[in-house]
Formats: sequence, C-alpha cells, structure tokens
Amino acid sequence: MSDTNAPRIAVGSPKARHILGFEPARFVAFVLFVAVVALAPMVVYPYFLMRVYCFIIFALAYNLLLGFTGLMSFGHAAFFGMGGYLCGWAAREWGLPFELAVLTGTVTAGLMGLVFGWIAIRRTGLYFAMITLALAQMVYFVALQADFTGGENGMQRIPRGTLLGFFDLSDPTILYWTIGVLTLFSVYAVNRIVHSPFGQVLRAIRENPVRAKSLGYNVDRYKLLSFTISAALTGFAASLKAVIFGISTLSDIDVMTSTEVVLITLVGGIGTIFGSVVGAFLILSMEHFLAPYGPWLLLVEGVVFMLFVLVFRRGIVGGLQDWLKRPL
Amino acid sequence: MMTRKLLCSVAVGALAAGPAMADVTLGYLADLSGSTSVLSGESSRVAIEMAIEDFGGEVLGEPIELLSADHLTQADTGASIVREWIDVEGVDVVLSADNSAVGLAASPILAEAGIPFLHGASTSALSNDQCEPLQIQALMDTYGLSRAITVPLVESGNDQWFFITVDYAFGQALEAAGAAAIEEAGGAVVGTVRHSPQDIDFSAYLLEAQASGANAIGLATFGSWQVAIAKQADEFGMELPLVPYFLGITDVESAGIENLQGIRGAVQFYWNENDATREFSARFAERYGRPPTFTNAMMYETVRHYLESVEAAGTTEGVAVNEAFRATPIDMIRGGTTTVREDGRQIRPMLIYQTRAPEEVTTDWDFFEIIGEADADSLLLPQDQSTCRLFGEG
Repeated sequence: MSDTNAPRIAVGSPKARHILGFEPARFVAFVLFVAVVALAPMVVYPYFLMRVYCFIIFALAYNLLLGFTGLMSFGHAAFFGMGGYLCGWAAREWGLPFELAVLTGTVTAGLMGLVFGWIAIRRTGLYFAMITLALAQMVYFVALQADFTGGENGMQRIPRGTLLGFFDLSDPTILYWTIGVLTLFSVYAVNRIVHSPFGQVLRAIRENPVRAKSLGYNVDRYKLLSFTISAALTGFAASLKAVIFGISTLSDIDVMTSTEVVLITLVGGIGTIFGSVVGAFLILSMEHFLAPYGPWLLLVEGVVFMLFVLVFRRGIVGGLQDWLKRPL
Repeated sequence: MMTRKLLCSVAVGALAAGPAMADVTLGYLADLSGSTSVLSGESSRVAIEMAIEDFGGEVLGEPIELLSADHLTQADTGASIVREWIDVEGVDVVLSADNSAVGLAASPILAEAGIPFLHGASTSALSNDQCEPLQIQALMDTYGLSRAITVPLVESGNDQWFFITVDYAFGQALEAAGAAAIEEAGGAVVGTVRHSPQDIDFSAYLLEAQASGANAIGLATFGSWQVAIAKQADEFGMELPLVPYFLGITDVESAGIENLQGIRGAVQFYWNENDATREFSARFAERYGRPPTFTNAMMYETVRHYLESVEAAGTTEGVAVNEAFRATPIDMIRGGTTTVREDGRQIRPMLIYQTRAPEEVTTDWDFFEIIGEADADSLLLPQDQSTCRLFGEG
C-alpha cells in the first residue's frame, strides 16, 4: 500500500475469534449500537431515530461500494428515490403487504443498479462517477415528469400495513422495533458480506484491480455484483423510509441525497462498518437541529465536508480504528 | 428476556407519553429560506404574531404559544416537523405549509391526529381528492387563481392565449384550469410552451408567443421565472400583455415596476385598497418595514378567526373548533366576510388589478391599481365537478 491517500483498512487477523461474525472490537461496537437502539427512544424522538436508521442502512450500502470495492458513485439517489416510489406504489396501488412492498422497492433498486452498473463499470475513477451522476439525473427527470410519482407534489398516503400479517405497523412502538431490528440486521449482513470470500475479493479489487484480474478473478463481474447489492440495499433503506413516513418525494431522488450519503460516509469513515452509524447520527442530528436556521445548514455542512477532507480524511470511526489498531 | 420486556415497556411509555396540554399552541410551518420565503416566510409569522397580540395574547385564560419551523420546501421535512409537533409539542393547529408538496404530505398526518390544518397551499387537490373535515384553505386554489383574471380578459377581447408554463404539477394544473376557463368564455389557446425549472432564458418562448398570433400570454409559473420572463419581454419591447397568476407586491419590487407596467392580474388582498386595509398595513409596516402581501393578510385573518373560534368553542379540541370556525363568517381585513364551504375552500372574491406606470407610483409599494373584482362564486369549483367526499355529508 504505497499510496498514502488510499484508505487504510484494518482487516484484522484471520485468527481472531469472531462473535456472530464480528471481530471482538466490532462486536463491542455492535453491542453498543444494540444498546443505543434499545434505549434511545426513551430520550430521543422515535421518528427522528427511524430516519437516522434508514440513512444508516443507506450509508452501509454506499460504504460497501466506496469503502470496500473502491467505486465512487454519485448516483445513489436514483436507487434511493425509485426504491421508495416503487415500494410506495406497491403498498398503495397494488395493496401489497409490508414485506412484499419493501421487497418490490429493494428489487427495483437492485435491477436499476444492475443496469447502471453494467454501463458504468466500463470506466473507472472520475468517469465512473460522472456516468452514475448522469444516469441519476435522467432518473430524476423521469420522476419529475412521470404521473405515478406525483411530480413535485410527491407520493402521499403510503399505507404502513402489517408485519407478517399480524403486527400493526401504524402503532409507533411496533414500527420502531421493526425498523430497529431490520437496521441491526443490516449491519450484521453487511459485516458478513465484507468478511465473506466475496468481500475479500472486493477488497483485493479495491487495492489492485490488475493484480486481482491476474489472479483469475473476473473483476467486472465482481464490481457489477457489488454495485447491484449496494443499489438493492439502498432501495431497502428507501422502502423503509417510505413506509415510516408515508411519503416518497423528489427530495429523495435529488442529487443532494447522493451528496448527503457521501458526506455521511466520509464523516463516519470510508471502509468501516460503524462509520456509517456514527456518520448518519452526526449528519442527521446536524440537519435536525440546524433546520430552523435554513440556509446556514448548507454552509455548516460545507465546512464540515472541507474539514474532514482536509484534516480528518479517515473520518471519525476510521480515525478511532487507526488509534485502536482494530477494525470497526 | 425479562430485561428485554422491561426495555420494551419503558420505550412504549416514552412513545405513548402524552405531551403537556397547558398552552394553546399554534404551529406555523413555513418556507423560511426558499422560493416563497419573501412573499410569505418571516413576514407571515409577523402577521400571525400581530393577530395573537390583537387578540390579547391569550385565549380561554391560556397563553398562546407560536411555534415556527422551516420545511425547506421538502415534503418529508415538513411531514416530520408536523409529526413531531403533534407528538412532542401538543400542537393545536397547524398553519400555512405554503408549498403544495408539503401541504399534501402534512394533510393525512393532521387528519389522523384530528388537528385543524389551516393551510396556505394553492393546489386544488387539497379541496378535492384530499379534502379533510378539519382542513381549510386560506389561500385561493389553482382553480380560482386561473379564472379570476382569465375570464374578464377574454370578455374584454384578449381571447387568443399563449401559455408559458413551468413544467411540473403546479404549472400544469394552473394551465389546464386556465385553458378550460378560456374556452368556456369563448376564447382559444393557440400555443403552449413548458419551461423547465432550470430555465433562465425565455427569449425563444417569447418569440414563439409573438409569432403565434396570441393577444395574451398566460404565465402559469411564479417567482423568479416570472420576473425573468417579464424583464425579457420588456427588453424585446413586446406589446403583448403578460398575465401573471401568482404575482405579489414583493415580486414587483424585486423585478422593478418599469419591467412590469400595465400588467393585469388578480390578487386576494391589496394593501392600498381602502381605509381598513391601509390602517392594517400601516400597523404591519411598523413591525416589518413593508406593507403586507396577500399571504400575510390571509394568515392574519385566518389566525384571528381561529382564536375567535377557540373562544366560541370553549376548547382547543379540533372537531369543536372546526365547527365553530365554519359556523361563523370570517371577517376580512378589507371589510365584509367570507365563509368556508364543505370542502374547506373559502368563498372569497379576488381583486383585479393593473400595474401602474413607474411615474404613477407615488407611494412606495403602491404598484397596483384596483380596476375590478372577480365575484367569489365564479372562482369556486362547481360542486358537481368536485371530487371531495365531504359534500352532502351534511
């Protein structure tokens, strides 16, 4: 790793004991996060927490691509927006239950990811980012004009339905625990993906695609799969958000959403699991508490972005991970 | 397992814990930083504060508290704020939400919670498919906006129309309603262009309008686009009359009256109409440094009537207040009263104005000359065309 700008990711010794697939330090972080999910609704407004959880899943998906595969996408808002719209449409117009509506949003985003990825992975670096951005802008204008999205009025009255046909999700308590558990499961799942043989290949591609290819791996195939998984998980996050808030709007599919997830990932730590968690909490809290000050929020976000890029490029969890010499 | 259950039950307690109900709490959900912030935003909050003060600062012996928040013109932000106001602040009424997307998103949440929603969105959907028993439209809807000026112009000979429309739902709805009104009145639409929200150069559209043989250009757009179109039309020296649907005195101030002279339109409130409006406007200007726009005035009237309704009902409970709100006519600042129809639409006339020439503007902000009035009933969507389910329920 001669390039000092490349993220240094502590992988951990393969001999280390794993608990639930987590390395010990990560497991401690996971337990802490479980505690936060369990205790936070007593002091923090639950709908705010659920919003944060959706963005944690979104950031995990993004980090899988940027941090663990080394592909920088500027088009994830397209998956986030369309995932939400399709989930909402499935729940409201087709009357599908919660699980199937979320699945619809997830699969839609995944299929879009497959197409986007197929086009974009032919290029790398800046060109890759530009292609994803261009495709996402096309999707944005489709969403603006298409009838089913409601244009700038958005899609409203998305029903929450019931979980497994039994738990009524319009009860905020049941909704909160459902979303909380799904978020914890997402953290677990992404950690498993990263530590699977598939994840090892992704990391090899990130470090040196040419060498990975010379070892006989079909690099493009792996990149495409990583892109598709990332898009699908993004659609999953968006679907949950659509169900929680009952709406799906253009702001989800706007380019600002793409930059927001970049910011969350950067602040938390690129190539970490719990960076997504810390980053989402931090950025969304900032948005929540600075909302009354309108345009100042954008200014503060810009300053935070520059600060992290200039002096703290590893992000909060990334820095902590370097200091502890443990993967987080 | 035991601890798990304990945690669950504590969390349930936290979620279900009712908010404190002491004060009468008004929530003003506004665009404080976006495209309508100059027209409404901060200045409408001043108007609401004025209404509260004029009422004496308390109702039913409880102090009146005003919350305000910026929805950033994002529906999900607006919806989250409304939800939090209901759950945490125990809000008694939500005001404004002056953006169709935000209004449409807030509507079902407030309806479910049984809290009155006195909104300032202009989409007709909120008094049709999405009408709610406790929901009242404080501003004119797109139906009324599109007819108020269109019909008199067609009748006075401007019967060939060309539309420049902002290419999304608000513009399309305004254009569709305007075109229907034109055809009904015996005119015709000879051409339409849709401009994208990114457009800043409208010269091609204006030339197309000129070539189409139209004798009026309908501007189914608003804000900075409208100002840009007016300025560019002036640069071309175009003689065709521009017809804006949604023009406030603040837009004229920022565009400059020299670019907007001789334009005819309709507005719900004009500060220099009569003695009563002048008296109100002087008091408003003392606080805010300029006369009130129509949105400011509507918020004042609505809040004043809401507080009277709370007093009449003897409670802040949504259903009772709503009943009282609809049972008594709303006093207009300009004199006279309006009432609320079943679908939540206020039955309200509009003033027809013509913008003055720069040399005729002798007082600051006195840009309009009122030349007529559009009858309230002519601006109401006929009941048989409405899709609101509340008609006929009694």
